[in-house]
This record gives sequence, structure tokens and C-alpha cells, in this order.
Amino acid sequence: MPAVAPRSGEAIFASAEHVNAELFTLTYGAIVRQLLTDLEEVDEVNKQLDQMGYNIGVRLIDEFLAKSNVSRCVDFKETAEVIAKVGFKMFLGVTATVTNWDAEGTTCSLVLEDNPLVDFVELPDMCQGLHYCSILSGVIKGALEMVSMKTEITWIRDMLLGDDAYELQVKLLKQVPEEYPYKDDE
Amino acid sequence: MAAIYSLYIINKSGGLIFYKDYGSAGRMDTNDTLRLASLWHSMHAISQQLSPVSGCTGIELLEADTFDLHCFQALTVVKLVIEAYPKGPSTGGAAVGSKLPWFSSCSAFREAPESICILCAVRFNGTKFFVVCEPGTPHMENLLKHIYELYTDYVLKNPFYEMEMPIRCELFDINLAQAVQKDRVTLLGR
Repeated sequence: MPAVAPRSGEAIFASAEHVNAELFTLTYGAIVRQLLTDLEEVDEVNKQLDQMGYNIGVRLIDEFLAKSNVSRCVDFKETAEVIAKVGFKMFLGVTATVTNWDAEGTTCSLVLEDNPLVDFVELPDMCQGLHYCSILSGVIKGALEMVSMKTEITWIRDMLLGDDAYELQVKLLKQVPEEYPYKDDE
Repeated sequence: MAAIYSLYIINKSGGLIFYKDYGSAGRMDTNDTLRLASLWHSMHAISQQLSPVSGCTGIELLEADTFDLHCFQALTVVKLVIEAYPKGPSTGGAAVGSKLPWFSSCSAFREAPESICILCAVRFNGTKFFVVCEPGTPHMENLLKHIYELYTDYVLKNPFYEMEMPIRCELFDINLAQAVQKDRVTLLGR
């Protein structure tokens, strides 16, 4: 491929078609509400949102790669930066900051100060323990899995539960090598 | 003269999920195309192992007498392959290939995209040669990239499309036809 400069998250976000932000927020709210009615258990809803996000992520990664011209990242640090600066900007219009790296460089936190999903949301007492934005963790997990990175994502801070920001801890479990070359003895 | 003979999209397990013929001379039935796709998938994998330089992503261009085969593999291991009319003797790959007349076939895979392309020629007896030469025109690569974008838009975003399954999406067909048509117009305009 000819060398194409990676595009910035801002540029892609500006060139993409937009929908009304309220429609987006309200649709997501309706989905969460319906899941709460259907599944009744808060934990089940978290799981279901995560699964829905995963299903989105495995498809979204291709769009991300196609539109951003990002090529292979050299390490997980670069991957995290790309997710925070390009990925979040491109699809949500906000950027995240990457902090709290551990010594091995396999665990970090993505901190979101601003989150368009929760614009009108106040969690009632009966919903304590609900991670309203679980879909985001699912998307990241699904997307990274398609580029051969198995990750575990946990919510550390959640503004709806009284914290001062949204913090997602991304832990790289293992880097699955490409489909091939297969080892001869496998 | 057709700019493109045919387009293949191959999923990560080597299955053909999309095939479109744009008037290639040789008739092929469905089984042939499936076989060809999985063969190409394997050859692509082998080429990665053959590479003398680490970090090779596989064959990107195969040049034959009567056609060129351009392959683009996304990081998610979906492959897009098009067969196009050959570029002619002026470009690097073909020029080197023609100086080495004893080769049965020549294929090139590029390592550093902006600077070199490594031309790999395999003789019938299995001996392998590597030649370094200039890369050719970026024209088909751009088309492949555009088709990749169409794939992400009209195939992956279709909620009723099952991942890894054959692509039957009308919107994709329509937009693809437009892209190929446009490509033909620019080609004839040159």
C-alpha cells in the first residue's frame, strides 16, 4: 500500500455524517431501559450491554481501520493512545486520556471526562451497580479482539455512581498471534 | 478494455465471501472461484513465511502476462483481491520480471510501502529468488482501499449481515458498481 498518513480523529469526525446527539442519547437510554425491564437483574443488563458492544466492536474495527488509515501499532501503549485519541473522537466526538499504566505496560486506564451517552441520565436507587455505559467496554473489547488482542475491561469509575469521571481499565491478557504461520506441531 | 477483471473478498479462514466478475475471458463456475480463493489464501500465508525481512504482510501484487492480481489485507485479516489488466512494461515489477525470462511466474510483495518492493520469483523447480525494485502505480491500491471502505459501510453495518458469511447486500453491489465504473472512466480518461 502507498504510505497514507493516518488521519486525526477530528478530521474523520468532521467528515462523517452526524445524527442528532439527542436522538442518539435517547435511543441508547431506551435500549438500556428496555433491557432493565426484560432482564430485571442489573448484572444481567451489564452483561447484555457488554455483549451488544462486543458485537458492534467486531464490525466497527474495520470501519475504524478503513477510515483512519492507522497501520499496525508497535505496542499496546500506542494502541491505547490510538483508541483514546482517534477511536473515541471518531465515533463519539470526545477524546479520552490514557493514564495509570502499570509497570509491565499491559494495564492502563482510559478516562472520559465527557460522555455523550449520559447527557440526561440520573440513576435511581434501584439501579445501583448498573454500569450504564457498559456498551463502550464491549466495543473496545470486541474491536481489539479482531486485531488479535485479548483484553479484559473493567469499569473503575462511573460518574453516574458518584465518581468524578468515567474510567475504564483495559488489561491486555494476551496477544494472540495472527492466524498464521501455524506452528508445525499444532 | 476492462480495468478490472474480477474482485474477490476472502474472510480470515480462507473462505470466499464475495466474488464479482467484470468480464474476464476465462469462465469460472462457483466451485472454481471458491477453490481459487482458498488457494490464494494459502499462497498469501506462505509468502509471509518466505519473506527474508520480518514484518511481511504477504503478497500484495502478482504480475502475470495477461493480468495483475492486487491483494489488500486488512488488519482484521479480511482480504480484498482484484484481477486487473496488466500495467505494462514500464513499471518496475514487470521490467525486472522481463529481464529474467527463465522465471515461470513473478510475484511481488512490498515491505516498506514507500520505498521498495521485493519481487519474488519462483522457478518450476522450487528455487526462489528475491529482487528489489521500485513499486508500481498506486492506482489499484486506492481502488482496493475504497472498496474496503464500502465493505465496512454497506456490509458490516448491515445488522442482518452475519460476520464471515457470504455477502449478499444490494447496497454494497450498487455502490461497488459505481466505484468500478468511476475507476473505468478515470482509466479511459488518462
